[in-house]
Amino acid sequence: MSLTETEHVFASVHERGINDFMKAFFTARPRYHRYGSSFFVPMTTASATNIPAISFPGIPGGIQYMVDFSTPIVDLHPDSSGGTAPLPLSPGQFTIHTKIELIVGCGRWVDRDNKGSFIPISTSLEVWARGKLTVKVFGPGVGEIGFQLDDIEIVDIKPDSLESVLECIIRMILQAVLENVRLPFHALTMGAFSLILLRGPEIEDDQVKLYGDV
Amino acid sequence: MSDIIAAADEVAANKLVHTAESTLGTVSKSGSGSLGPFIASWNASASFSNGTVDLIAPNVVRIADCDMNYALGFTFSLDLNSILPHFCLPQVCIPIPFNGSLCTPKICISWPTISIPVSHSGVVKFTADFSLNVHKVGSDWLIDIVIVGIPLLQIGPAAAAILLAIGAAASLALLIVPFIGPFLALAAAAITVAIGIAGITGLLGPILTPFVSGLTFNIYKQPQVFEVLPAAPPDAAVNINLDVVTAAVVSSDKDELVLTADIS
Repeated sequence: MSLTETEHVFASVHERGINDFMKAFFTARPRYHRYGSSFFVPMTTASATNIPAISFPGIPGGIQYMVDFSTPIVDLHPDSSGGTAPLPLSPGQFTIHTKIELIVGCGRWVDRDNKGSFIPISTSLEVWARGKLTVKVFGPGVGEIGFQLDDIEIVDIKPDSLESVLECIIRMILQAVLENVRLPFHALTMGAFSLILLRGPEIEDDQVKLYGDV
Repeated sequence: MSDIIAAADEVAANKLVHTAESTLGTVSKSGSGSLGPFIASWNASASFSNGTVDLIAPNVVRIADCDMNYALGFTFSLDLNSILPHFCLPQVCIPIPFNGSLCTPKICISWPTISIPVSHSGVVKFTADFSLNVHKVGSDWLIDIVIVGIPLLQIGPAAAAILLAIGAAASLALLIVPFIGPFLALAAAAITVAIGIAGITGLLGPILTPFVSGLTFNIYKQPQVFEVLPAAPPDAAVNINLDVVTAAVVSSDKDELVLTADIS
C-alpha cells in the first residue's frame, strides 16, 4: 500500500520524533514547564512563568505554590509502554506521561500584617493522560497539530475523591500547558513541501499521519 | 522506522520538479564555434520548464518532454569577396582637342567583410533520467536530482528556424553594402547554402548540450538545525536537528518519492 494512499502527499512523525520535539520545546522554552507564584517565581522569564498566588481571606499574600512538569513523554497508538501505562490506548489516541512536582509555601504568621515565613514543602506525582490530536488550519498548507486531553490518571492516591479532585485540577493545568505545544505541518514534511491537509491527523503505527495535496 | 517520513506521488512530484525548474532560473553561457565555414561568437541563456515526471524505483526521476527555453545570439563575419564575383569599371578616355585625352581610372570593386548578427529564441525538448542525490553543503541538507548521461536534444526544428533567421539577418546586413543591389539575393542565398542545416546543428549542439550536461534541479534544501517554531520573545525558537536525511523512489500500488529524516 502506498504512503499517500488516495491523496498526493503524505507526512508522518513517529512518537520518537514527537518526543524529540517535546524535548526541544521544553528545553528551548522552560517557562512552559515551570510555574510559580511570586514567592517562587518573582516574574516571568524565559525559564519560568509567574502566576498569581491563590487568594484566601486571612492568608497574607495568599497561598504560594509552584508547579513543575517534567518533559512529557508521548505514546501514540498502539501502546509502547509494555502494559505499564494505566490508561489503555485505543486507535486514534495518545497517552502522555509526565511527573509533576507540586510545591506549596507552607506559611505561619502571627497576624494579617505580618507575612510571616514560608517553608516550601513538595510532592511529586506520576501522571498519565490520554487524549486525541487536534488540528488548526490557517490557510492552504499552513496549520498545526495540538494535543487535547480527555482523561487523566494519578495512581495510588486515597481517598478516591481526593484523587478525582487532583486529577481534575491537573488535567486542567496540563491541558493549559499543552495549548502552547503545537507541531506545525512544515515540521512534519521537513519543509519539503507545503501540505494542504485533506485527511488527518490520524494516529496509527506509533505515528501521526497527515494526507493531502501540494 | 524513521522519525519523519514525507512522501509525494507522481502528481505531487510533478509540482515539486516544476518548482525546482523555476528555482534554477536562467543560466547563461558564451563562447565561439564553427558555423559551417564561418566562426561565430555566441552567447546563450536557457531555462527549463514543464515535462512529465515518472518515478522509477529505486532512484530514478524521469522527466519526459522537458522544455529547454533558450535564447541565442551569435555573430559571424563574412568576406563577401569569397562569395561574390569581382568586377571592374573599365577605364574611359575622352579625347580633348589639341591636348590628348582625359581618362578615368579603372575601378575594381573590392567587397567588404561584413558582420552578421543573429538572434533567435526557441524551445528544445528532451527526455532524461535524473538520479537522487542527498548531500550536505555546509549546514544545509540538499536533495538534488542530477541528470544521468546527456540526453538527445531535438534540435532539428530549431536549426531550420535559425537558418531562416540567418538569411533574414544577412539580407539586412548586406543592404548597406555599396553596389550590392544586383547581388543581394545571390549573397544571402550563398550564405545560407554555405552554412546549411548541418552548420547550424554543428553550432547549436555544442552550445545547448552544456546546459543539460550535469543538469541539476534542487528539490529540497533545509538547514540541519531546522526551525519548528520561530522565536517569539521571551520565548526562544524551537529547533530540531535533522541528523540523517534520505530520499528514494518507492514503488507499491503507486510510485512515490519518499523522504525521511531522523531527528534529535
